[in-house]
Amino acid sequence: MKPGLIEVIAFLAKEMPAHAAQVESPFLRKQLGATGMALTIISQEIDRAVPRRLEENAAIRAIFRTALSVVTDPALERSLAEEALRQEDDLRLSSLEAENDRLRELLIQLHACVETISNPAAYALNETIWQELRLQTERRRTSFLKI
Amino acid sequence: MPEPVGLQELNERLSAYIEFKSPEEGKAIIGGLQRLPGGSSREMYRFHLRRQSTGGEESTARALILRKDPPGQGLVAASERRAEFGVIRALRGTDVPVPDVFWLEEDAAHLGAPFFVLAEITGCETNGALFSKLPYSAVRNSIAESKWSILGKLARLDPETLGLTSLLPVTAPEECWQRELAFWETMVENNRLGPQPITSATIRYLRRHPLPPPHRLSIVHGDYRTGNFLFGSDGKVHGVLDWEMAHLGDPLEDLAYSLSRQWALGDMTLRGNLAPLEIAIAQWERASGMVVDQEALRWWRLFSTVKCQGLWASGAAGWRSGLTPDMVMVMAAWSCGATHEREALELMDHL
Repeated sequence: MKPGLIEVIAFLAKEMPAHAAQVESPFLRKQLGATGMALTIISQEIDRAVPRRLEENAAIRAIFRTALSVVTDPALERSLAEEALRQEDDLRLSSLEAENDRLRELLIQLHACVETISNPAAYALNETIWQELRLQTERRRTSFLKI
Repeated sequence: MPEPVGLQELNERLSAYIEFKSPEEGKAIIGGLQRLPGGSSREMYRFHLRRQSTGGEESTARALILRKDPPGQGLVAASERRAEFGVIRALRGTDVPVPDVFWLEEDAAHLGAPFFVLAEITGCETNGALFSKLPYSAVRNSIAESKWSILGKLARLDPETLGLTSLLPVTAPEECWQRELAFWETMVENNRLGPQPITSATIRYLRRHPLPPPHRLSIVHGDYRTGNFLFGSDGKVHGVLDWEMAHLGDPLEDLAYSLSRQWALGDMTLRGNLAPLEIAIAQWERASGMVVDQEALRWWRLFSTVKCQGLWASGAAGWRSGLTPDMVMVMAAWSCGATHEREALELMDHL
């Protein structure tokens, strides 16, 4: 069987520190070390990148659907309704990433709005958003995360 | 944009500059010039300088550091080398150990970019991972005491007596937090890594909870963390480096920044791989003569997560635009940013 993408990247990630140790320039040594760390993260991320974004985009859209009964700002409500109905039709990572960015941008607007509303539904939605934000850090967890 | 300069050319131009600045000391002979990692907002080089008189006599070699502006924008676009140089010079002779400073040059004609030269403090380390290994693990507590005591002593110094109120912007004490938050919010915004919901929520939280004025207006280092101080196997900190973000402000800003989880390397229960949170705070309080307001400290710790996101965003923007090849900028944006997000959640009781 031919070597797989993850296998090769993980191998290169381990190779870098060994090469770095033989380099005289402190700057290049650090550069190779950091490259090795970056490759480690890529090797950890590559397999889950698409499902992670699909999962996250769906979770944010679910929040938008709940928010429709909470927010009263017409423009925000319209944006939430549009995004809540959208579905991914392009599974390339770059497209999913762009979609994720757009959704997270709107999530910021929603969160800021919800914080200004004083009623039980808004409090509950606020908690749901914080829970989702915590999950987003879990979905992005790499071996270098310190908390 | 200043032109990039290769190592050989840099050697020649630096020699010529030093001879130009101090012709009475003879020919300047530079050896061992090499670029160092770190110093993310400035390129950093180490070299040895000997002077040769017209009679051919050579002085002993002096270990020096060149801090030169990068070809493009560094981590902190607004950093002022004149202020950095002036702060280091003002602190010489105080309880805060800093290197000797020599030349400050703002004319890019000499080395392709403005720069300054300072003494290298030799025989020390900056790598915080070493705190877990002998001989440093044996003196870890002593290094911790030295680290946070020096920071406390910095907070005690009077900026006016040191002439720093004419060098650094003076802000009304009650406006310190607003100035810093506005600056770093702009840094995050101008160097966008993409939407950052946690950082945005943190900024809103900080604005909803304004701070009371600090005990006093102090000299704030601005980047007091592992990697920016030199320690020895004697358990002492011998030099505090990288003053490019120094300013006058609330001394709790520095303490909070130094306590970030990001600077843990190895033992995650220790701040900066050196001491538990409470011990570090107590060491700072003893040296500063101030009692920490825990709510204010929490505010500044949250602020530090925003500030660091601004730093990493700025560095990543520099890497993406090709201004720096430094892969540390990529790693910081990927990895450090995630840690600061988790830290912000933790501090706001959402983790």
